Amino acid sequence: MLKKILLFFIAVIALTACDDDLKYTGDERVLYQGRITDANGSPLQGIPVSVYISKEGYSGLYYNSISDTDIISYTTTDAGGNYKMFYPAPRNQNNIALLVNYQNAYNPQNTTYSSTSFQNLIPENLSDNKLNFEDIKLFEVANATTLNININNAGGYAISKLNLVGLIDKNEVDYNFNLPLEDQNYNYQESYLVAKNQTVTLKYQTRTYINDNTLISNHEVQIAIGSEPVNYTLEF
Amino acid sequence: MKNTYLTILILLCLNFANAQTSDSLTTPAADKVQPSENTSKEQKKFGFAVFLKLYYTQPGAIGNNVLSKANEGAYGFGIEHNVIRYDNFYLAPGYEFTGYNVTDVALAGNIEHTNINNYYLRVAYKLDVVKKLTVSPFITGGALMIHQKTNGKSYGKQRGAAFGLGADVDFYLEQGLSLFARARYNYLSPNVAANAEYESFFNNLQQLNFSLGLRVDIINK
Repeated sequence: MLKKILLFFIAVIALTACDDDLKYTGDERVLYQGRITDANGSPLQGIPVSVYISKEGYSGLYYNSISDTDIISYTTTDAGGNYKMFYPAPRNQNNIALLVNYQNAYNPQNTTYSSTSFQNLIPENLSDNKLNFEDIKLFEVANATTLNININNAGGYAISKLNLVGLIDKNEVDYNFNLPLEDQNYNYQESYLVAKNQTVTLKYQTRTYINDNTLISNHEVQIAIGSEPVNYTLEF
Repeated sequence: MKNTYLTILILLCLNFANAQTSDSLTTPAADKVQPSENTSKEQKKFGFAVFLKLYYTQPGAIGNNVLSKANEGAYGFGIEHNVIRYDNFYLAPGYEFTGYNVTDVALAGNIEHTNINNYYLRVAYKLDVVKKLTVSPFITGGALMIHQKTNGKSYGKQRGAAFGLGADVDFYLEQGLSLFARARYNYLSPNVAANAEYESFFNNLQQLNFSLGLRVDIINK
């Protein structure tokens, strides 16, 4: 009887247990720092900058996908455009991102300028518990045009990652682009708001299976942006 | 085994009763407040001095460190259980909790509370000042655990060492009961890994706490 009761409690705990909670080390502090400027390199003051951390998980009872997310640190840039933030190192995260010019708890977005983010940050990017992003440029969204990317896949490859580098609004820069993606269902963005008169680098990663082996390769193309909207077809 | 516990309990009860009698015959204070009586030749150098100190504390922080620059003291409490004395030296294990609210998210992280748990051993030296009033400077040393939390969610723990010094001013109220005020400086050294430029900022914390509490005497022999 005692065994049955014990088994019942173990089963209840196992079914209701969640593995979605973000966990932190507490005794390790990470420093992110850098400088935010406009397209001409002049510092921007009062731009909100924050660190976003997420952990995907499942509830044991219904096996629903749930997630735990934190804006673990935030600040605004000073008169020199500089920012500096500390946060406790997470232990079980799926993603760490630096968000630039996205509204956080007490600091509104500067709607004159673009926003950007650096995704997929990993502990290996740190040097002595610090990551210096150097200069990050934002542009005035009033001075923007659009870039549409169409994909024409003729060779049986699959795109596992796609990233733009340049002055792009709401861009999600994969900080570790060359690393393989864990999630096999990658969704890429097709339409972007970009600054006029620049050259944008389109990076993409392809994946194919040859004799039960996965072959991953990284590619880059340059796209010239003028003052008119651009439709670009990526053929591979 | 049961008999042993019973014997210890009876002995403690006898001690307690004896302490009350002894105090009532000698001084108004539980552990002899008046200097003339305190210098009694019959008083043993080593003895039991069992009393509890319970207190509220207002935590503070000083210096250039994350506790001082990114937190604001909220509230705290503590308990000490003195067991023995040698001459005028008193030895007590103690626990103190101090709670802080985070005021600078960029330095401390987007976390609401920083809670400091200090487990220590205190050595105090009692000085009789005037009737009913004693001053006891003390030093402490022990272990430290800092826990950062927001609405029950943990953002990790830091462990390390803590050392302190301060002084109590005890004012005798009535038999076995005193009121006391305390000023205490604590140096806290959690073991935090950080960028070399900021290691000291996270590892050398300084508290300045002011407390008010009650002392309850149980045994003084």
